[in-house]
Amino acid sequence: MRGDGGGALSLRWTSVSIRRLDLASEEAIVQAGPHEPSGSAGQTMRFEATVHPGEKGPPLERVADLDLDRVPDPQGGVRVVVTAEDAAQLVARGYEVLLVRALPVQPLDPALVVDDESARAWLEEQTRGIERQEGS
Amino acid sequence: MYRTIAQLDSVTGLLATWFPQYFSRIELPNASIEGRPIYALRMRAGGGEDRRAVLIVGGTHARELMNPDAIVELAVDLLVSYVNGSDIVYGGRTWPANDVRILLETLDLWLLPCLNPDGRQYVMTVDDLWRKNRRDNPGTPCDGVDLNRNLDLLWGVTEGQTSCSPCSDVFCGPSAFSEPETRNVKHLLDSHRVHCFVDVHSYSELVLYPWGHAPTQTVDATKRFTGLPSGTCAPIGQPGYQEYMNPQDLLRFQTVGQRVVDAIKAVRGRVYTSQPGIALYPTTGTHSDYVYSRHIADPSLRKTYGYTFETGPLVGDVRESFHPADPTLIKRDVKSGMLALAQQCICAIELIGVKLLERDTEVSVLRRVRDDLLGSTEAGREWIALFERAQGRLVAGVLADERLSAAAAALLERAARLVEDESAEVMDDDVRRGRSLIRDVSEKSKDEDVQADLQAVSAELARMTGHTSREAISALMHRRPGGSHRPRQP
Repeated sequence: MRGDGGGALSLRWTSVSIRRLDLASEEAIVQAGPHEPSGSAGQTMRFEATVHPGEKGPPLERVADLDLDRVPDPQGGVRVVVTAEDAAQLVARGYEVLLVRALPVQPLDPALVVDDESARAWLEEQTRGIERQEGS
Repeated sequence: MYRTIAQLDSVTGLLATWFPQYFSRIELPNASIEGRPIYALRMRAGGGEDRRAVLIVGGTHARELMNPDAIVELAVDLLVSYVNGSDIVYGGRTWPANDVRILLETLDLWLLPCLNPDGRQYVMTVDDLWRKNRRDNPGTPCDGVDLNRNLDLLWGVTEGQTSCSPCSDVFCGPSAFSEPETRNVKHLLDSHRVHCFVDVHSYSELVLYPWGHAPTQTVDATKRFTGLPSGTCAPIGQPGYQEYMNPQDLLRFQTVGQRVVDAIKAVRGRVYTSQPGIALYPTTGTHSDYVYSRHIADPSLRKTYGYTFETGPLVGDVRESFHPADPTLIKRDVKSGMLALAQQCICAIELIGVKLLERDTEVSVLRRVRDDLLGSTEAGREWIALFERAQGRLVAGVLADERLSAAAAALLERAARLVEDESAEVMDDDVRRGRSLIRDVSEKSKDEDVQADLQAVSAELARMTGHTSREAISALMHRRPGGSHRPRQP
C-alpha cells in the first residue's frame, strides 16, 4: 500500500491504506480539497492517522520535516492529525499512511461544557462551612 | 465536563475574594492575543516571605481540556483539607492533613490554570482539536503559535516536532517569547522563587523532564545548548549531539519523577512513565526545558526543576484522549501527581532551619556539603537521592511532634558544626542521638521504602563513631546506601 507520489488528490488517495473509515468520511475527504493546510481557517476535515516506513521511503523520524501535528502514540509509533493534503504528501514521500478515522472540524460537544449555574454550585458545595471573608 | 474560561476565572476570583487569607489572584502583565486577561492564583497559609514556590501551569495547548479544571479543583481540595484538618483522599492515595498543612505553610503554590484562554474558547466554540494560541500569522491563511515551542531555549531550532512554518501545529512563533502568554510564564519565573515547575498537558501518561532537544549525557560539560545557534529554522545539525546535565540534577529529576509516578499509581493503579522529554519526541522551546535552562544560560538566575505531565492515556481516538467525556478519574490521578511534585519541592533541612532555628546558617553549610562534595560522586548522589525521596514523607511527622522537632533542630546544629571543622570527631553521643531520631521517625512511617532508607542511614551513622567529619563525609562519597563501596571518583 504505497503512494505513487503524483497525480490529483483523488488518485493519491487510492494508494493510501484506509482503516475503519466510513463512507461519510471518504466523501468528506473530497470536500477537504488539496490546498487547505492544517491550521488554516478554511480547513474542514482532518484525519487521525498512523505513519509507517515504506519499503524505500525515508526513515520514520524524517516525518518531522513535514511539520505535521504529531500526537502521542502509546506504542512509540508516529500518530498524526493530518489534512488530506498532509496525508498525500506523506504518501508521496514514500511513507505508508493508515487513516484511522476522520476528525471533522467541530466545536466541543456542548454536552461536555459545564453550565454557569453548575460551576458556581460546585464551588459553593465544596467550600460550604468554610468561613468567608466578611462582605464577600 | 469542562469549565469555560469564564468559569475558570470565576473559580479563581471567588477563591481570592472569599478566602483572601489563603489565596491571592493576580492579573498577569500580558493579556492574551485576543485581549483576555490571564490570571495566576497564589495559594499559601501562614506567614513568611521569600518562600520557595511551585508553579503549576495548565491549558498551554488548547485542546488538552482537563488540566485547567484539575488545577482549580486541586486548589479547592487543598483549601478544604487545610481548613477542616481533613485528609485528601484520591482513590487509594491519602494525603494526610498534616502533609497538606506543611505544604501550604512552607511553599507558595502558584497556579496558572489556563495559559491559553483564547485557545480554550476556540476549542469550545469552533474546533475542539485546536492546539495553539490564536495569533494571526500575517501573510498566511493560518493562525496560531504553539505556546510550548515559543520559549527561549533553542528557540527556532526545528529539531523534531518544532517548526518555523506558521501553518504547522508546532509553529514556534516569529521570535522567542513573541507571545504574550509565554511572557506571562517568564514574568512569574522572574518575580518569584520558583523551585519546581510543571506544565500539565495531555495525553500519554508521562512525566517528562529535560532534555527535549537531545539525549542527555553527564560527562562532557562543554556540550551545552548555550554553544548552539538558535533561530536557525534548521535542526541542531551536529550528528550525535548530546546535551550535558550535571549528574546530581539528572538523579533529582529521576527521583522526583518516580515519586510523582508512584503517587499517581497509588490512586487507582495507572502506571505513568517518567522519562526525558526527547523520549516522547524531540522538541525545542518548551516550558519545562526553558525553566531548567535558565540558570545555565544565566548563572545569576535560580535553578528551577521543570517537568511536563502528559495526563491520561490514548483511549479510542485522539478526540476522546484530549477531552474524554468523563475526565474525573484522570484529574484525580494528576492531582495526586501535582501534590507529589509539590511535596518533593520542600527541603526538610531548610524547613527545620527556618522554622525551628530561625536562621539559615546551618542550612548553607550543609547545602555546600551536598552540592560540592556529595554531589560529585555517584555514591554521594545516591545519598542525596535517598534523602530527597524520604524527606517529603517524614518532615510533616517531625514538625508535628515537639520532641522530634527539637531533636531534629539540635542534630542539624551539631551536623553543621561538625562539617565546618573537618577535624572534629563524630562522638558516640552524636551517633546515638541521630539513630534515636531515625528510630522514632521510622516508627511513624508506614512506608516500607522509607523505612528501608532510614535503616540505611542508621547503619551508616553507626560506622561514623570516632571518625572525623572529613572521614565521615568521604565515606558517604564512596560508600553507597546499603554499604557497597565505590572506588573514588573524580
